[in-house]
Amino acid sequence: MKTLTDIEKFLIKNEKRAFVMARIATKDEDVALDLVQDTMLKLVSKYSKKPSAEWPPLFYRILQSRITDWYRRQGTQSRWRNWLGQSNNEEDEFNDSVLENQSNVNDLLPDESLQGFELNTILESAISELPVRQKQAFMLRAWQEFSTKETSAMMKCSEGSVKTHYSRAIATLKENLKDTPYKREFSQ
Amino acid sequence: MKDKKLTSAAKAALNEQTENLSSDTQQRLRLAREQALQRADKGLWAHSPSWKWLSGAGAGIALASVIAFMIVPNLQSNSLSPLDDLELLTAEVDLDLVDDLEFYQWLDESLTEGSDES
Repeated sequence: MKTLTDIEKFLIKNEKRAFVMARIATKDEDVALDLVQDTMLKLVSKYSKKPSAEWPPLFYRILQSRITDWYRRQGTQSRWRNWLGQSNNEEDEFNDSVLENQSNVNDLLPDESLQGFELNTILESAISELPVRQKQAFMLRAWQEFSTKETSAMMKCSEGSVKTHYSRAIATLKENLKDTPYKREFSQ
Repeated sequence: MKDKKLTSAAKAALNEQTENLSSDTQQRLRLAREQALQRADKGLWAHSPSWKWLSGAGAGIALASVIAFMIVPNLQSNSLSPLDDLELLTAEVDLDLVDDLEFYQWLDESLTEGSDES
């Protein structure tokens, strides 16, 4: 019977979360799978000999880099299409500034149907609509429970920036939950 | 307090998503993992598309440097000779490692601090 290596066990434990993170970031299952596979390949190829305690920050750092690269590539492709005269208005908006832009979950969820949505569905939509950096900070800090210091290394930014992105994420989530049945549960 | 409630609810929602992935998605993830492990075992990382892309970009930069050196010799007045530049650009340096050096420094410091504390 085949024995699982430590790195394989680590991947099995983390691949689903990584996939959900990538899917929320890209809103595309196939892209998310590619990003996770690429992340796993890089971790195994380059860092499997590192102590296993180093794998979690490395793994999620590689993943976040892949996600950010994907956003940048989307922005570049959009600019090229624009330059070649093949753009449309939606694509024109999709550039590096998307990393900081905000949107509202209520744009996704029709008002009249909000009452029927379960809290988890509403929260998932709200998280997926956070700006990219806020989304990264929120998922790494709140979900993965990495420290501010660890998160700053994964996001390649200062601890202060992580705190800012995280607090903005909380504020944005609360704002986006305002018009839902769960307003009172989470507002100040 | 409300923030904690919100983050707890968000965690629960994300956990639910993770636990309820379709069997098809789980199968595809398993295949992706197995492929990654196999490719790493066989040392195929160097043949991945991203590496090809990086190699191509590196070759492009090297070519542009040679052209710049030939066309604009007066611009090369720094202490390093153009051949030094070319050597740097064409050296088989692991670009990811260069990118990760700062991160490793931080990681080493963190682990040292952690072991000191425990």
